[in-house]
Amino acid sequence: MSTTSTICLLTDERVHAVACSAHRRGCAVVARAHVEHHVPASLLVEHDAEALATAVRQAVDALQRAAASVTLVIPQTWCISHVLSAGGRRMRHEALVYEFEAFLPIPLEELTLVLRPLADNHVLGVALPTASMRRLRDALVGHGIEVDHIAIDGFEAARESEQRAGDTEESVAVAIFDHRSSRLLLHAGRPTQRTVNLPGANDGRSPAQILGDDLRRLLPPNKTPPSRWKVLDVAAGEAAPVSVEGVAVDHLAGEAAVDAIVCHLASKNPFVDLAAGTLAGGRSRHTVARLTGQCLAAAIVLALVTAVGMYVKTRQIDGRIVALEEAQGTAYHTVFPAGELPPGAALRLASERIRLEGLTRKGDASAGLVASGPLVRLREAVAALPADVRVLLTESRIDEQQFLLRGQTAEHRDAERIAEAVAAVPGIEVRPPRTTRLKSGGVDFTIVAVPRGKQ
Amino acid sequence: MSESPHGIEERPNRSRERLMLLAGVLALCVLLAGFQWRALGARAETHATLAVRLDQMRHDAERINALRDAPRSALSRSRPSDELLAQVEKALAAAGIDRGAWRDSVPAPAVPVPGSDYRRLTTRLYFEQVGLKQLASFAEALESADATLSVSAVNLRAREESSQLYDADVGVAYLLYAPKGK
Repeated sequence: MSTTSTICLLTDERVHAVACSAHRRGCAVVARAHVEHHVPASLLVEHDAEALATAVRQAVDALQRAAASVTLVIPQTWCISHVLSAGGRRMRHEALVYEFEAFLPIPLEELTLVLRPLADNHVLGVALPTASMRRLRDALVGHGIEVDHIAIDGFEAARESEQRAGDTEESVAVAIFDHRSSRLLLHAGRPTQRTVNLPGANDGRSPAQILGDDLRRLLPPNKTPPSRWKVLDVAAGEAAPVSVEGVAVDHLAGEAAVDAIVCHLASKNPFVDLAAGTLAGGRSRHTVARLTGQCLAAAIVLALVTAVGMYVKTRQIDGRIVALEEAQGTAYHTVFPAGELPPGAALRLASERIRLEGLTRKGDASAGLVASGPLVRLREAVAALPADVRVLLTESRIDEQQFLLRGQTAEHRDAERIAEAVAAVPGIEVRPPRTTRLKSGGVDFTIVAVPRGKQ
Repeated sequence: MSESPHGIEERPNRSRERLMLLAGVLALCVLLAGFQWRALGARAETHATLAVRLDQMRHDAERINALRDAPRSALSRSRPSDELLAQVEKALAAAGIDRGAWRDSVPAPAVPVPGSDYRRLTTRLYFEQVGLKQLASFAEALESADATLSVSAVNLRAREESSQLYDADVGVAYLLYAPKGK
């Protein structure tokens, strides 16, 4: 499965856009386009970031492929680079920055600095003017282009060249020939930054002569000349066979030169990525990570405060529970002074209350005559008897179920009056009396009453 | 130019590790907060239950202390027969009834009072040649001496030799408080 990346290369007079596809066997160019545009030689001079962003947009659009983000390859002349030696000891980041600062023409605070470890205890430091680059990046964002990476043409070209050579000990020099200048990028295994401004016109020399002269001018004085040159001619249309006396030249021109610089970026991160710090993209993982970290920290604080608050509240409630248990003991011991508080003290008190309520309930729970005592009822009946009625009581039965009077009186009418008197007793109903005339005179009567409602 | 760092302490990018550590700490804190939440909930429930229980206990204690001084209307256990008979003898003496007039006493089995937790135990006392006034005095003396005792029945039969004297059987009853399950 292949992935396609869009890479924009800025040269002196062009903005190149290349869509590269990365797969297991390598990278391949899927589409390419370029727009003529005068790219500034340095970010330290005034330039029209908006116009440059527009040119990039036009080049990307010309690819006719949707690309929301690009890798921007900028000229090495935009950067300040230097190789530091750690001197055989481990150096901290702050110490390296301090050493690098000595080589800066402008304050470090105005630059975005990236340090890249190298072999043999060396460190490559690359710095880029932050404000100027941010203006260009913001202009690109305004055109709908996010910059994921900011690579440097020289380091990418030298990196690719070295990998192709496969031999770090060989003295190889890598140079880019552009419209306005030529830049020596790699010499004797070390990145360099040596630029030669090209003359404006061809003075009749052959391409080989021009190349040979420029190559010789690129070399620092008193340095051993390399045995092989890698020349990436981004200004020329096509490569011409070039031979320079005593020097092997590997000459790539035009599209081949552009590909040599950018194609591998489809599968690899830049050797030095200046999209760092404030130059990172709007969707930078760093920014997201920072915000995420802040949110997590805030959530941790909130969770801790909540946990502590609930712990404090729990302890307060524990204190109140202890007070309640003591109060329960006090309430229990007002009833049962001796002994410890049993586990079911509340049930014990409730049971005792119910028992005592049962033993002290007023009045009889039953219905019937006995609510006010049989003798009381007899007394009430007798008290209701008329004074002029004579009664001989021979038998009475008074209990819950009945009120019976049996006796003798003078007349039937007197028996009825006796029955009326019995009817005055509350809660009973009197049946009509039964009377029997006695041979000896007088009347024998029987009066029966039952509880009211029970006939 | 090599890409491998040698001997240089490169500032490592540990943002991912830091985020994972923060996420782990957050998970622990949330767990801790969760445990505290549960503990708080349980404690609050216990507090509420204890508060209600304390109110009930205080009410019951107050009621118990009041009822302990109230006159009893029932007993929690059966009265021994000799205790009852001793009460009867005292009441007879108070009413001026000769001990010889008391002929017999027959206890009846306990009878449940319908719709209640009570049972009634009745003892029938048999007397000969007693007057109505004496019987009334006896009932009053018995009930005054022990509020749990009451005269539940009176049967009188006039004696032939005198209209003022009766043979009587009197039911003396008391209530036994026996809730279901006892």
